[in-house]
Amino acid sequence: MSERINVTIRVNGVEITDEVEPRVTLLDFLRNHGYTEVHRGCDEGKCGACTVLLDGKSVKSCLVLAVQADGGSVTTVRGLTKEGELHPIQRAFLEEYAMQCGYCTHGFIMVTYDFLTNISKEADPELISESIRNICRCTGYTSIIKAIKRASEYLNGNTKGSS
Amino acid sequence: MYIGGYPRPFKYYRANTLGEALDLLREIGEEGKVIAGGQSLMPMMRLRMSFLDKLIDIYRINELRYINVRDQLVQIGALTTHQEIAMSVDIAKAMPTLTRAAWTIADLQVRNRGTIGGSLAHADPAANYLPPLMTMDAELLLASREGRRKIKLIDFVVDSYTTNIKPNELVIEVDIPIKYNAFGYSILKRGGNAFPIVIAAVAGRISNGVIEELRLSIGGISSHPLLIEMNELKGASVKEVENKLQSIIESSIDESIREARLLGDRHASEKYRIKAAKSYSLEAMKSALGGS
Amino acid sequence: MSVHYREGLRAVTGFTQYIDDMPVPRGTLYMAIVRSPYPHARIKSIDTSDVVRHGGYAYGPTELSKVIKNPFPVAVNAPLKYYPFAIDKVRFVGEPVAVVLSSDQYKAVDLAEMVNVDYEPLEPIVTIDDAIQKKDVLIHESAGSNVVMHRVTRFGDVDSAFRDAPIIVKTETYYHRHLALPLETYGVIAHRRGDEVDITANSQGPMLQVYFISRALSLPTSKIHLSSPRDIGGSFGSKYQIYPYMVLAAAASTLSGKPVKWIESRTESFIASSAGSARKGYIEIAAERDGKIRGIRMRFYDDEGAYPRPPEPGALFRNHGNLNGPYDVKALEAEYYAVLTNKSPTGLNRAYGSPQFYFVLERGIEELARELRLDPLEIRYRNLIRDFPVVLNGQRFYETPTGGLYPMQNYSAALELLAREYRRWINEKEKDKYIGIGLATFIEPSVTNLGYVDLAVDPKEREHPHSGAGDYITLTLDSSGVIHVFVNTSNEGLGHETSLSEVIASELGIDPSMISVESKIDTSHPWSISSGSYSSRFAPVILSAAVLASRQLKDKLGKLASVMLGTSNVKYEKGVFYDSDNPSKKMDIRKIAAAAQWDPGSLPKDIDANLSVTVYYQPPTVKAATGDKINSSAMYAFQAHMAVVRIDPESRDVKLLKYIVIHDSGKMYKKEFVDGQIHGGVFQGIAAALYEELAYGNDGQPMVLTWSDYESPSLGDALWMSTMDVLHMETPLEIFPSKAAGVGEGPMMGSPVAIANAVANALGKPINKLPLHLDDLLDLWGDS
Repeated sequence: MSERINVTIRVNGVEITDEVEPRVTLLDFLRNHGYTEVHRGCDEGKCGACTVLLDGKSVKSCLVLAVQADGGSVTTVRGLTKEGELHPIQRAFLEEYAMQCGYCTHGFIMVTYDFLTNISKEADPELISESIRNICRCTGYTSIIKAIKRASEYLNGNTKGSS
Repeated sequence: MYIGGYPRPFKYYRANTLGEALDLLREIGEEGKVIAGGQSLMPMMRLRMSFLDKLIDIYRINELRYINVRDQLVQIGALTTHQEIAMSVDIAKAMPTLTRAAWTIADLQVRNRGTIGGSLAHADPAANYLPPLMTMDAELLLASREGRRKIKLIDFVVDSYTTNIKPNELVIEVDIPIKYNAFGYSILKRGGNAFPIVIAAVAGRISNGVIEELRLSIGGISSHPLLIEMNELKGASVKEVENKLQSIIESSIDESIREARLLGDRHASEKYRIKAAKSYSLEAMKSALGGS
Repeated sequence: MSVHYREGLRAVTGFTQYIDDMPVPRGTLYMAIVRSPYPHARIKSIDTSDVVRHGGYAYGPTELSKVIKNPFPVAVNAPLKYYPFAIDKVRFVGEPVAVVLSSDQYKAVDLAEMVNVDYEPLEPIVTIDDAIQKKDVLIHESAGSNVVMHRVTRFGDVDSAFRDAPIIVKTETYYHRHLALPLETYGVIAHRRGDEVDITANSQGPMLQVYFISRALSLPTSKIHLSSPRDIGGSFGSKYQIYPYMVLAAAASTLSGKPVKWIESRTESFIASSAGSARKGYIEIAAERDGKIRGIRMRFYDDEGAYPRPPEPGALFRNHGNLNGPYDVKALEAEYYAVLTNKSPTGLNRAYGSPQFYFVLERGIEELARELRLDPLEIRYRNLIRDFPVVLNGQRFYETPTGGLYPMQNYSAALELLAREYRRWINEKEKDKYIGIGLATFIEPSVTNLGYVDLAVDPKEREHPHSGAGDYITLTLDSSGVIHVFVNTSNEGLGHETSLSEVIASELGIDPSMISVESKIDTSHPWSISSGSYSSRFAPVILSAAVLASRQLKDKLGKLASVMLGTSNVKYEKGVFYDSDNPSKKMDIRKIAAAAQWDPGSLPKDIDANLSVTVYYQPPTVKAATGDKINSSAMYAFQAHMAVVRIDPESRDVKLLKYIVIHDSGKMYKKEFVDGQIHGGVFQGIAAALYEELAYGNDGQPMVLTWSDYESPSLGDALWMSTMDVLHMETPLEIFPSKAAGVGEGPMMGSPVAIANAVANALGKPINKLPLHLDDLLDLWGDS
């Protein structure tokens, strides 16, 4: 069954068109087209390393078929950086040293973006606990939790941030 | 086969309207599998745990995405996402246990994509929605080219991952009557295990401190959730049942598990789940009685 | 940008480059591995014809044996053979049996399903007890036994320590099979070009990989080139054991004539990558009535899976130099068994060998405290080492009975820092009976002396002495004054590039932006068999090498400056050499480099225009074993943990209320990195104690195939990590130029037992087995 389907997806504002087998995941579609910042960390859709924004909402790209995303718009972290300037969330992660090997970082930034924009801009801890459940193996999460709080402060206009 | 991440090949069909979906189901419903949000199906496909060679994508049927709150009834379109349900202020007012159930599903990414119809059709024994919906006598609306039918959720879910949906049918709506004013919801998840161990939901009607009706539903411990009508509490005052609650709950649960097919695995045995069901049901019950 | 964190900047901007991001040669085929579904079985036949019919390549044991001619060397004296694939018998679920290749990644997996293997199942050996007792079921017939190594080592007068002891306590423990599994799986790109092979993999260091590959493929080392990508998504030891897959991919490339790429799937990583050995431990402690320990006897049985794959049985011996932990004990006996079972082979894991080891030792201490009705803090306090009488190179050490050399630190002061919080929580426990407090005090070994693997063999049978912990660093100045640093190691999240640039910048008084660092594997640059990122050797060894190299570079530039400025009275400050008699006459590093590069011909005959420095730094106390005495690590640092838990009366589950680490790893270069390692290590240890186990059923089938099965906590499950406190002491460890000890592993060494001790305290019962799952907690709760 090597039927192929034409798929067009706008990634960080750039239209990507390709013919893919229906079984190809959005994750593999993105990576095959050079968006290697999106990572694969598991086979079951649990770890969140593959998280991107699809039509503005965070999704696990390994749990979406490329054909399902046809006509949609995907944002990765490279779509957040504007003219070389880091987005406040990127800045918050860097300032809190919220990464070690860096493999989970992209997924965390994208789900944090959705969370702070659409769910809880004050970064309510209860809601964090129910919403941001990506896996990190290196940091023990402490610095990432701090980064989410700092990002929240930045997005709420507090540019000085906390330590 | 230990190489996960790459589904087997299949033929892909997309329905943009309900009509198209029902036509496809009539044609290939027998061999085809329906995919909505894919949050339960995709993991299975990627782990090659499912054998499907035809996939019918219904995710874009926008006409099935809505939340209508009427006077006595909440109607939720089957393709409404978990996050939409979680954020609905109207649902929170009318039936907070449904809101809690939605919030405690997996994580934000899964809730953005997964749908209530998909979850109910999948019938995972530890599905968050089932206990609250069962306590509230929820009904499902199923559609096929042969017509529509309504079925009580408790009759729809037959066993683990088994419903009595027909191959040419689609769940299109969930209807929940608004008839209760006392609610409780309690869930035990452990570590990074994706599946809850125990979910306890309570719905009841209390007026002037007297219990008119009280229902408890427990998920995660048996092949499909238990529904327990707390009949011996009818007519009692909240105050007088307070210290009898624990023993009443324990004996009710012991009674209702006798006919049940119990679940146990290396995360939690049958014995553990039953014990936890009792503790968590008590907690949910206390919320329901305390909040009225 | 005020934050200097190079790796972090790449991560947040999406410009990291991991193995699966790397470009591949044209014609590259994807490899999928066919693996055994049985723990123990004979292979009757393999049929790959369907694969070929569908346009793929398939290679079974017959083909692979043509290229993989020799087994890997093993460190034990047992007649058995370890190949990276099964030949006539499979010995663990997941063992590679055949490989298939396809130009499409998805299709490769389809093809793997088309290989038909006929097996004759055999009875599996699943537990350590089975391995020892079921003598008629042999995993390797040629070995004659499933116990492939047994050694007894004794130090000091153990017999009299026990004979007249007023108190003797005994404890039996079991620590489970666990792996600190990283988020990125294994990846290999292998390209056989004629008689050469290029392998790029996210491996943890050149170390012995080239040697293993050379032996297996029967290729001279001159024909093997290893490299790694710039970024590795975590390793924690597991990516050292990638070498069997490097060989498989290289063999597939040889057989097909095409470059081959293999990316491991998550399921495979659970069942067939690596694992930390499960350990059955026995400990007897002889003591005085006041709690002072007279002697310790220990017996360890390590379950190493189906093959004693190097660096095993290292997990048993890694702590040999610190067998007495932080306690002043002169009489020690350690008996070691390496046992095989039908599970995947074990290997390096974060805190290699140590969570298992300290579980035995610290549970023994707790038993002693219980027997004597002494407070756990007090009994540790009474036994802590206080005197460091050995003097070497002007520094003071404590020499352990087994040959370890602990540099002087103040263990008691560190423990005293914990005491106040400890007493506060004891008060809290009086008000809330569900609270439990657990301690762990231990010595963190770092910088492994590779020679310790000799302990696997009786001294009489050792052929050659071995030792080694050194490493290379190269600094080269380009014509614009930028210093290029190269270290042959892997960058799996330890901030090596950032740290190196800052240390060198600090030594030279210049800005880190003038320093470019590459910290990755490339065997065309200098390296030794001890080169790599393991046993937390970066700060002690590589930063020391960096310090020395910076000084050498400065000296070289000083000589050039002398010539160029025309005076021998040259002083140096912040990147500028100047005439001390006439400070306005000066040249900065950039000018010197430019002059030397653009016109070396003008330099005097005896002046070297070499702007490159390569230093090999070997820690001075790392020597080969004498008998069974060996300084198994070059560095030892004290650490104390306190865990406070609360048992939830509804779920009986364990909740963390507080975690404190008292930490002294010498000089800290970047506190954020040190804290990150400590938080990460403690968390992994807690996850190991409460959730994660690479469990197998009684039938030898792995029961954990997904993160959900493994119960690995996500961020949403870990908000309590904000309750963790770390208190740093910084005793400069003068033995190394960097004055620093290793940091990465210590927190994981003590956290599992600290949790066990806390739960034991809450429930009033000993906890001598991990992990603690819901049913274990329910059973322990019992009627208490």
